[in-house]
Amino acid sequence: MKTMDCRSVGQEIDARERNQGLSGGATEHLAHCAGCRQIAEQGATLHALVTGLGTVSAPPDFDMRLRARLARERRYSSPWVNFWRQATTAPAVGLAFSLLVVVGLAVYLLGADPGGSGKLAKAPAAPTSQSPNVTTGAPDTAKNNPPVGIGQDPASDGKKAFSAPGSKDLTPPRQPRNEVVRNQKAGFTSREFNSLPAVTVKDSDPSAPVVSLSAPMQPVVVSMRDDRGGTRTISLPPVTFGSQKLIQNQYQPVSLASAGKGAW
Amino acid sequence: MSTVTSLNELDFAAVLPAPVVDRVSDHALLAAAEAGDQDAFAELVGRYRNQITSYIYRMTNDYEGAVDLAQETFVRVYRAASRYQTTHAFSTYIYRIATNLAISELRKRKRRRLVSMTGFFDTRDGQEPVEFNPPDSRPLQDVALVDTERRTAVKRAISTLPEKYRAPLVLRDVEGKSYDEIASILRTSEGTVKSRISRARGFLRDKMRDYL
Repeated sequence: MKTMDCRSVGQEIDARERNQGLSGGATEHLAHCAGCRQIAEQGATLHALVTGLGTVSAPPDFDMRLRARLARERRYSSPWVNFWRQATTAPAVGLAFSLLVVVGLAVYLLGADPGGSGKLAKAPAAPTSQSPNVTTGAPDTAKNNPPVGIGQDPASDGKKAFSAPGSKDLTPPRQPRNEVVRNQKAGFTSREFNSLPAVTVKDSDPSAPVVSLSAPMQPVVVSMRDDRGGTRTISLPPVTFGSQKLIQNQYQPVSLASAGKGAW
Repeated sequence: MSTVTSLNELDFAAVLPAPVVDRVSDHALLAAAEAGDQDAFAELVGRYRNQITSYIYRMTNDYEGAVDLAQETFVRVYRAASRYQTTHAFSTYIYRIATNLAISELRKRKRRRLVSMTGFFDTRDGQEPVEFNPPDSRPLQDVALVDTERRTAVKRAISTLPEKYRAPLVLRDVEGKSYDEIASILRTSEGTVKSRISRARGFLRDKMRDYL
């Protein structure tokens, strides 16, 4: 009979099933090898220990908790909740969704102000006599140009440093310090913008009708009707000029007003 | 009012269990549950709740977590009842779900564990060391205490095995599944299952040497 080495016997012991004997070669090896015999005994003891662990019972309220959980699942199993669950469980889909939201937000924010900071750059051209801190070597061009930003090349007409987001030329001015020094040598100096008044932008339409009311001692109710038949009534309190109270917001388009109740 | 004069007059039929009906297959129960029969699903839960809870408990060594995962297993079975295919036994199917959940939980725990201060047992398999407390070498007086200690040590030692060895060992030696079924549950070959079980027993014997 072919004798086995300790390694093969150990593998056979580990692969042995419950109530399963060893092969003849392994049995013969065990008769002579005390170490393998000990391994076999340990394996048998361990096997008995593991199989003796038995099963653990579920708690008595297992069914009740499961029913509650299923009911909760059913209650919140709307398509959007399922979609959101899928989006949050699948990392790739969730990441793509987040990226989509970020890109959409960026597009919205950029599109909301297509002119960028163009309004701020369009300050009224201050006469040179009203800005004592400004001395320029080219007064004829300073009248027509907007104020120049910090670190901006005045010779670039304010287009490089504060170009609008939609414009193509987005390259920042290079070496502004050197430019300033060079311009100073050429006769330019910097401007002190802190002394200038803030720019006021008025969006009022000069063609809009203006109604003037005297300040009465009694509350005044003003009723306005737009071109579509909608009526807005505004109550003006007698003393405070700034507060207006919208007591009735009964604007109804003609199409909806004529539809009657039950249209929804 | 009549009085009972002998035991034969007692109505034992009223307290005897109902006659045993033919056991409805798991497939039929799941199909009924999909059609909206809540009792069928309850019967299915009753059949497998202890097995699944016990199996996950042996995998994770955490009873409360095992109960939660067992419930999650049944929730997933319920949710995916329409996609269930009868090519495999239902027990294989539900054990596969439970195995995946248990392994996911073990991986989560592994990520949560920053530094192992007591992990000096190497798995010899290139995986990270796992925690296992060394036994107290002082002799214990009470045999019952020895048994309890050994049982606790076995549970801890099983929970320190790598996942790929732990699952087949528990399925084979604790749950008593066949190699064929284990191979189906773990989606691997029968030879791989046998090899992993053999290696798992070797690891376990090494860890438990001082207790045996």
